[in-house]
Amino acid sequence: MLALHALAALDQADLRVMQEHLATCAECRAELDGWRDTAGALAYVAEPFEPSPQVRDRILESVRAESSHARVPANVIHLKPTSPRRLSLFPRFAAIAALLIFVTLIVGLVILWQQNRTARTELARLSAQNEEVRSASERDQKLLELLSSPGTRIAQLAGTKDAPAAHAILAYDPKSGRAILMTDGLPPAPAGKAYQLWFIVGGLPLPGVVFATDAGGKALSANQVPAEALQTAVFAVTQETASGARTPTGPILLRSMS
Amino acid sequence: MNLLHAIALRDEQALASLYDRYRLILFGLLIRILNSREEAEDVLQEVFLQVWRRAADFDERRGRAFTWLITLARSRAIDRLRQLGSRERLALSAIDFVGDEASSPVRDALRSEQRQIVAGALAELSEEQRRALTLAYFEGLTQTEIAARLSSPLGTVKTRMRSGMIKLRELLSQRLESRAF
Repeated sequence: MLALHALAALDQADLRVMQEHLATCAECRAELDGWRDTAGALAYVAEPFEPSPQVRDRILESVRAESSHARVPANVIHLKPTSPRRLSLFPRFAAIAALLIFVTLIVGLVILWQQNRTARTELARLSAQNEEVRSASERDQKLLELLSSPGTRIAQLAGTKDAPAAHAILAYDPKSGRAILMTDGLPPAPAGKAYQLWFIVGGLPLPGVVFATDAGGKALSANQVPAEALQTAVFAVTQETASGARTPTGPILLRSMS
Repeated sequence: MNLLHAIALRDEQALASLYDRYRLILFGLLIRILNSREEAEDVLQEVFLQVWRRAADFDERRGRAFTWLITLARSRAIDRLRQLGSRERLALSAIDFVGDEASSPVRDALRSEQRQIVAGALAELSEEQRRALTLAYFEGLTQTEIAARLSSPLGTVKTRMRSGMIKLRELLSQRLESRAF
């Protein structure tokens, strides 16, 4: 029984009995420890894997946050007006921090990047693209409002092996879920196909808008982030048929960097 | 283990060192159980946060630090797996993909003696014993679920798992001179 308990393989009823017994039997607890050693050896059967380098940073940050009771989210980039106090919450990023001001938008936007310089020039390029969009319509005005609003979150998406040159930014209002997706570097979709944004919640993909790229490989589309996806903030873009899909069927071309 | 003691005393560097030392094995285990890089990274983070919070609980008289760590990691992974449920698990494998394994030199280093010993020991178990143990360990199935999966009576499965563990323990203690995992 103890050996099976070490494998966490007992059924509910047996488990309860076991737990009650262990509470009072030191000898069995000691034996269980021995079985756990044996069970633990099975971990060696799994092929070793390297986690993304960011995981280490995130662990250390969350541990520091525990110690100092200050939560620092690391997987979204907040657009907020700068202040010395806010900068002090990102001591790590101070070395690579840069001010980037959208030419077309209200002054006072500041972005702190934890990524490298390419991301900044990308955004400058995309914001210049935004300048062209602005001269169009009311819808575009709304998009600009979103970009200029403090509190807007920006998620970056990076190209996968199937689309290494692709890059995208999803800017969204965490309250209303209104969002715009700006993509770049996606190859034009074959006839009858288009691209689709997905919001991943608990591993389950929720469909977003279907869009096509222009001749220059860029796309700008308005989206609505579903309420349940606002917290988890994981996004992906796949290629689907032009009418879109309810679950992803095509290759993943972009996914959130986190 | 000094690292866990240091962590209990709030030494962040010690936590970082623990991470550096065990991340490949831990993450490998999580990937094997969860089949998703994203979920595995989430759980890996959770595990180390738990280590930070509970390092003081580790009692070296009760067992090895590695066992403590790996047991914690596996529990969190199985919890997450059960939370996800089968429908989401399928969706997970559709949307996510597991990237690169540990690089070759690292992998070679990790085809360590311990690893070969464990693999060798497992190979000496009967097919049924091995299947039952791996279903329990890597898929978090209970004895009843394993019996259903293998279409075997519950009693048979329990016996196989018990005898498999006994044999595994014997083989491992024979072959492992030092208990330095």
